[in-house]
Amino acid sequence: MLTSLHHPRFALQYSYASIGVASVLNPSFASSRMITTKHIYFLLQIAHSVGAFHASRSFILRSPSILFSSEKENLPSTYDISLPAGLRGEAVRSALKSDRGVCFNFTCPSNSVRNVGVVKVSGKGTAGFLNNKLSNTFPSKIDEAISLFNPNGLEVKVERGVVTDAGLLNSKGQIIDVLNVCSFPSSDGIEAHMMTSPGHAGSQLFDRLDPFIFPLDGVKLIDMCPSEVGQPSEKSQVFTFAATKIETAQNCIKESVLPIFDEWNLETFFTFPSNKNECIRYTFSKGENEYAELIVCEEVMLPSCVSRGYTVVISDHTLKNSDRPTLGSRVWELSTFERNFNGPVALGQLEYETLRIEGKFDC
Amino acid sequence: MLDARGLDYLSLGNIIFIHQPFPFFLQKGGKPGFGYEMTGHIKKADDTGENSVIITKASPLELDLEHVVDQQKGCYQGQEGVVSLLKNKKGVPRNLYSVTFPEEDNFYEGQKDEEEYSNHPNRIPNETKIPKAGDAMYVLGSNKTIKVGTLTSVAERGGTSFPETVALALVRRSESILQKMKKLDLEIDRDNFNEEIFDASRKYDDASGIIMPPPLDPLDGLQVILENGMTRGLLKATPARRLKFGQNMFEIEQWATSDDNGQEDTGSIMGFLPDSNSDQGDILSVPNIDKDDSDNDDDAGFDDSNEEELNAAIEASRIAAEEARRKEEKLSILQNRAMEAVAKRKAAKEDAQAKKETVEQIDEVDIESEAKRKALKLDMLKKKAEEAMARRKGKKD
Repeated sequence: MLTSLHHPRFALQYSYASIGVASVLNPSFASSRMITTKHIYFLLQIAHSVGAFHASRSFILRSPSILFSSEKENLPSTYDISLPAGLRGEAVRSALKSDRGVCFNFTCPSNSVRNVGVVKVSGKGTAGFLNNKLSNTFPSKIDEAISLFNPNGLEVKVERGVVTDAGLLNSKGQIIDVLNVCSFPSSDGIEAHMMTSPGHAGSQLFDRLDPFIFPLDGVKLIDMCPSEVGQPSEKSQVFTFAATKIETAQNCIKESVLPIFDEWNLETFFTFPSNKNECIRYTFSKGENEYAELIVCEEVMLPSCVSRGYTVVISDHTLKNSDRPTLGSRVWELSTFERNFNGPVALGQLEYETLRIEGKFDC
Repeated sequence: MLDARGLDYLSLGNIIFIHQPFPFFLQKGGKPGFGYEMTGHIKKADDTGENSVIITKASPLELDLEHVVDQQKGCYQGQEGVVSLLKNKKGVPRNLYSVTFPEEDNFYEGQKDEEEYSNHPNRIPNETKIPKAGDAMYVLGSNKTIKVGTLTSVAERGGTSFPETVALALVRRSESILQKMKKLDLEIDRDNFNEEIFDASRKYDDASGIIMPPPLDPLDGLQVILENGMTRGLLKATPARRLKFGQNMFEIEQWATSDDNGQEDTGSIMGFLPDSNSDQGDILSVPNIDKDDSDNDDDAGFDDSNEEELNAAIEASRIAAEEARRKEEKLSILQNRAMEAVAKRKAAKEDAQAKKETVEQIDEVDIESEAKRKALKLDMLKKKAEEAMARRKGKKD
């Protein structure tokens, strides 16, 4: 039986009172213990009393066992899973619209369900290999746009490349995955980093492509995010910083990524890609055979009407015989440490899935 | 002025006139996910209770991924399959649509409120189940005879912060669905559809600078029902009217549903950007909270605004009740139409049966007369033969 409280208009009109509650429910803020459970439930009561939470009696305040009975319950969330889904949804929207933005760690071990893989393609046959395997066109040569910097006596190479979305199809023309391919100039023509969609492990892509490569193809594949590695430094890490405004995502990178590379004074010459078709690779040299890579491209793995932002891939090969954390780990730690009240809000795979499905259209 | 997305717009104060190409409005929703729309292996229990796996295999063209395919290129893996779809005059066999399952239409089994009435003597078993990937969808009112498509991804229930469950689905061609619906005298309920605004034949050459949106997708607003249950949903192909600004969907929802800015939905694509100096941001602020976590003395602060909020709530409830009543009426009209259609079909079937019987009777009469005619003819021929034989015998003699 329909009741007036079940109508969405009612829900929309009075959802704003709940935003005040939702804005305090991001994990780092709540975990700072400035906002206690008592505060949250007090706010819940107030919001409920003014008609917030969408026909709240039967919708929000249901028992959690019923709320989370869908198949998505196994995906990890950074929020307390016992909180109602509607409240967590409001918190995600609030974070996306705020000046803090959100971030995803697509290589976190706990997020292994929806991880992003990176496979590097190099060699003189790279362009031919990509053109044969993928549905889009790749140039055999990119005009070199390389800049060299020498801050603090260390060399930094900046290369501007091209981003191409391409489909990996089976023999019948059905799609296996959409790959985000970042191509950069190289002495052999081009070399490329293929980024998979969340959920498609790099090792899966590697195993699919590698058996069909002959020595004469002149192509070498490297799985940059292997699931099991000897040293953490052998693993690249993929993070996405997103918000409803691109400026917010840029601020997230300025405050969370650039300080980690202060050894090379990255802040002095860092630039963002000028459009969605451009990517930039920074190669930081430290010593003999010790280097790190930072690739930045405007891609959020979500419909762009949901959010805009950047994905960064960080590879750290400067840790030989060292126990300190990788550059990627330090970036994630700086972004999400609990007293970082201005940093981006870390979201889990459950929130990612909802945003992916909810995205109404690519705008 | 050209923004980062390549959209050309003219900013005038805080009013924005958007000049967007039509395909922008025709793009459909959701992002295909690996393991769901792409290479999906969906586990689903069949009627026997055993798990079966549904494998989603879709072309990039079916998932609105035209931008990942270079149509001028050849010699790549899967090219033949893509080209066969590109050259198909009917278009792609399926399309990706968004589906929403509003809570107002679905009272799911196992729900707490429902459990309270589970011991009622006249209780009817509730067959409204939470949608899952792999569920087939049928047109509401077709008695599950017109299949629409299959759900491929289902988000967490209520995870959008609205009382609904959102999903993605691969849907069959609209022509065949609409044709079958027409036979059953069913039609898509579009109560807010303004024919004048969305007249496809009208040419907007008045040089006003405002490009009118194209007609809605043929299946936009189609009500569907899931297999093995009574769960009702709504197909949404093109962006909802509230997304006319072409901006971020969350902000658009905020403006479209807010009565504070005093701007009505004019139905055009001319929208108002929020003033950065306005109080819009206040809704994000946290109410006063004592840091020492002491008594909840902030109730007084909310009391002032409560009266206004409650009045508005009453008004909204009244509107919601009217809306619910109107929907009930429409549903009953729909049911009546379906019953009439069934009755018509039954009558037509009976007529056809009666005609068939008449034809059979006529056929029987025809067969008898034909047999008589043939017998007479045979007799006549026999007589003629005997006469001829008699003549020949007479000549011989």
